[in-house]
Amino acid sequence: MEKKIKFKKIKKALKKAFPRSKINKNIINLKIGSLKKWDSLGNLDLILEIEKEFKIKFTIDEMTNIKSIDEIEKALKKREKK
Amino acid sequence: MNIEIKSTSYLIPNNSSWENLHKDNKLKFAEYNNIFNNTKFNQKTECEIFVLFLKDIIDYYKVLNNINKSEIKKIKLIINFIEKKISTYKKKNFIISISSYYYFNHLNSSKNKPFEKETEIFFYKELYKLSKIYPNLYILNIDDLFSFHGHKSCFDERNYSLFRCRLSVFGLKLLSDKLSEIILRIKITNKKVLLLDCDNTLWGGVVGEDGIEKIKLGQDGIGLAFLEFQKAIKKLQESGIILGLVSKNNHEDVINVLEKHKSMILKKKDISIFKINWNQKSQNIRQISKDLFLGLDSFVFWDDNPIERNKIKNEIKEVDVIEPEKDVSYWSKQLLEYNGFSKFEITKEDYAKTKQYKSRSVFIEKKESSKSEISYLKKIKIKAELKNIGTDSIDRASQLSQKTNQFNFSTKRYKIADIKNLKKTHFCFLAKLSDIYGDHGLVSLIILKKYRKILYVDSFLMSCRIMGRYLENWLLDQIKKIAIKNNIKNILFEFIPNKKNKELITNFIKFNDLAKIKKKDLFKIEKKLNLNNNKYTEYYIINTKQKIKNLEIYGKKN
Repeated sequence: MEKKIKFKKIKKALKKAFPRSKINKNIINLKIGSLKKWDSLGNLDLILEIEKEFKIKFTIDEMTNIKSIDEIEKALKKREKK
Repeated sequence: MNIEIKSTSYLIPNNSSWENLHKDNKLKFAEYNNIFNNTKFNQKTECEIFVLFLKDIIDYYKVLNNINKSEIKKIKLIINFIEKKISTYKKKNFIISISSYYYFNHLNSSKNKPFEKETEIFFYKELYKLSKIYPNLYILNIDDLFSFHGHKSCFDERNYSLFRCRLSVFGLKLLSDKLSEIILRIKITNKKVLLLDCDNTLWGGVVGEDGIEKIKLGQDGIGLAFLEFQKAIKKLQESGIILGLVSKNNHEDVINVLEKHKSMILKKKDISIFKINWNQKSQNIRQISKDLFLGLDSFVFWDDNPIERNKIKNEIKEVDVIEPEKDVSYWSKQLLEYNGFSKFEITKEDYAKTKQYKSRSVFIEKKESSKSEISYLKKIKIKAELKNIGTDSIDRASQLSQKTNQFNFSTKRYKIADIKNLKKTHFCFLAKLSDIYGDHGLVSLIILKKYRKILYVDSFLMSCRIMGRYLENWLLDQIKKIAIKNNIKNILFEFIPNKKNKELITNFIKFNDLAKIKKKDLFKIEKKLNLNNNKYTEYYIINTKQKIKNLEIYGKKN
């Protein structure tokens, strides 16, 4: 998948998970704690939205380890390779 | 609506699956697995939703040999808790949604009934007992809801391990959508009438061209699909939905099929309304709404023809026009799953109402089809009677005054106490009516006040159910007789027009040649008049010498 489209989709999921937060153009450096509502529960909301957006399902390990946009991007990349 | 959701499981409150429910309601999630707790926002809550997973309640791993009383006790505790709540907060609504989903082992259960199944059956049995006693209790079976899409896509074991949510996001969305449908129905009442086309809707083919033998109904293939669709319609009719045929066809052709085709599930007696003619369907529907005094928003329209559907959609926005599935095989499913007709209670009054509408539309149909309206009305043995208001009828008098909108000259609303007082200074009457269609009971209220030169009509109203029998003319004649008895020459009508009464009252005034009179001219005749200050009020006068039409319906005596 093209990087541009990928980040567009991630951003869309971010907006859905945190509808009241302002999200900057550059999201690559965002991680847990960067947004007001992005706590451990918010993290789950985000990952579930990512799953919905990309129509994939993370494993339980992935879900417990993913804590930032960077890690989300890497997990998605891993899937593409498979 | 203020809604509180309590669950044995985490329901991911921030997830976008809840969007629908959030839209029109204020939603609060209680801490999960804390269903017995009364939280602070209790008082404002109008609806409490419980989402229960039996797996969270019962420790199935402990259950051996299919008997475990302590586990059944847990269910009894929950039922008792629910009943206590429902009986204390009668104004609140409660939706109990349950899932008893468990892992099947089909080999084991091929011989033994699983304990999980038993608890499920017990739970539902107890809950439905309660739902019969308490009108504010609603039950949603989550497993049935999910069965179409499969448990695999609705439940999610991973989510449970991670954050104790039994459901997948998809399952959550299904649940939230169904809950919002139930809540919408609590707020808005259901549709009442299903209007159907005939050709290619009730049967395949065109009866006018193919003939009764060649229409497709009953035989395998598309004929069977139409048969199944008719069964679904019949099921709705049994539950009190009124059926009407709105079809561009020859009336006799359709009646012929209804009466003679052996595969027809729907018979002539099941249909309350027949509008089988070549008029515009929208015109027919408006006429039905007028005849039955039902709002256009209580109609659902089902027609295979997209042109007819679009016409109705554009011309009568209130009517719910259904887009039928392309394949007729799915129509039966589609109709039965349609939410518009679903109602929570089917009462005796529902059946009585269907009967009332039926007799009303039969009355109108026969009246229209007979050559002379008057000779038809003479035949149906109408009997009217004027009655004084007694202790047994004073509440009906007040009810008529409060509820009657369309045929009501002044729309003055009187309570029982008001009528008691009025009786001291005014003539107060009720009118009773019966004919071969039944005893219609007390259907009209008249309140008159005598001045020196004028008989003033304070209230003149009549229930719409019995319109078309010229009872209003008979009543006018009775008022005239009272005036003559009291040596009064003129009767004064006070008409306060509004949206609802304008049409019927104006027609009455025209039909009986009531003469309009200005307020100031009125006072020239009678100075003592005590009239209202409403600037839109119109005044009409009728002289006791004037002849009143159509009285022959009521026989010579009257």
